[in-house]
Amino acid sequence: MKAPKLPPKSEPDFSLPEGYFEQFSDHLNNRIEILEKWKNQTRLNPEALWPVNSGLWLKMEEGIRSRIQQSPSPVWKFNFPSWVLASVSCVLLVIGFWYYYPIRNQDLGDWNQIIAQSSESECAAYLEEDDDWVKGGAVAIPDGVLESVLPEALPLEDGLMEDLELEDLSY
Amino acid sequence: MAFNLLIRKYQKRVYWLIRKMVIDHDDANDLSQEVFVKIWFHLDGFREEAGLFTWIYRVATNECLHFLKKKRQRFFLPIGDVEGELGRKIQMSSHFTGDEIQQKLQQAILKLPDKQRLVFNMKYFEDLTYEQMSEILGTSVGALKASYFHAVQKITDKLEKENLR
Repeated sequence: MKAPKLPPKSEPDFSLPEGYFEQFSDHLNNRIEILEKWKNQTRLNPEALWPVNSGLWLKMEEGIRSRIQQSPSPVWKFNFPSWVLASVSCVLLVIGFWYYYPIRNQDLGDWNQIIAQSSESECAAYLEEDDDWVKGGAVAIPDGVLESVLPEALPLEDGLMEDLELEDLSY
Repeated sequence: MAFNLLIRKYQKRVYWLIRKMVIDHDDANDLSQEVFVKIWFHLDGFREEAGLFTWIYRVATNECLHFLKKKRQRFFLPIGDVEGELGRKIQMSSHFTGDEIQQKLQQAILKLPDKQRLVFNMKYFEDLTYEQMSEILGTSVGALKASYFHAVQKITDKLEKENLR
């Protein structure tokens, strides 16, 4: 059996659209122009994009100098020896502790021990003194003052009772 | 005076680094001056092992990022609003002489997060090496490469969408 005949090979098509090379050239030129502009003109030379006054740099220099002269030197913050600050803080802490310690000690005294060591008469004298101090602090209210301030019959109570029904009080 | 020489040597680079981040001239001028004032007061604390240029750049980048963060916090602005505001400044600024394509590029850069924008600007506009950037930003070289790669991808995508490529 014979093998089927292959169709004849078609000729490769090398034809180009009309005006292809002109278009290619235009496109390439356009790309080159863009790249040139970006790379050479603006990339490393920002003044081509953002032009500045020629006097800017001198003005900036003057501005920096005047700012330095005007601003308070922060050097003291860093040069002030930290060990001085630490020592002063420690001394203040010790003084504070020394000043307040006796009071704390007094407040936290062992009262049971003090009472046990004291005689009965001392305790009695102390209690009497304490009682007088409490009495002295109270304000004596003269007779009849409370009655004059408070009304004899309280209207609120009456009104309340009128509004309330017996059912309201039961569950 | 040595400090004057230092100002003259670095002020342009500091100004342009800041200007590309904050866009507005007045803000950039103010921040640049503030950077040099800080440098003056902290020269004693400058460690010799870090290059002076690296140290100045670090102060400048910190000032920039702090300024942008403060701006957002002060006006309770989400990130997008700050970008929008900076973008409008580019469009409306009479000081911007770039054509439409350059405007689009700047707008695309503004879409990046602050730190990525900083990395992109340092690499693309300042031509710094990754090693220098690593010293300035205190980030590893690998992380910076990845950040720059992502930044370029985002900008390319944005420009492609607008048929500018």
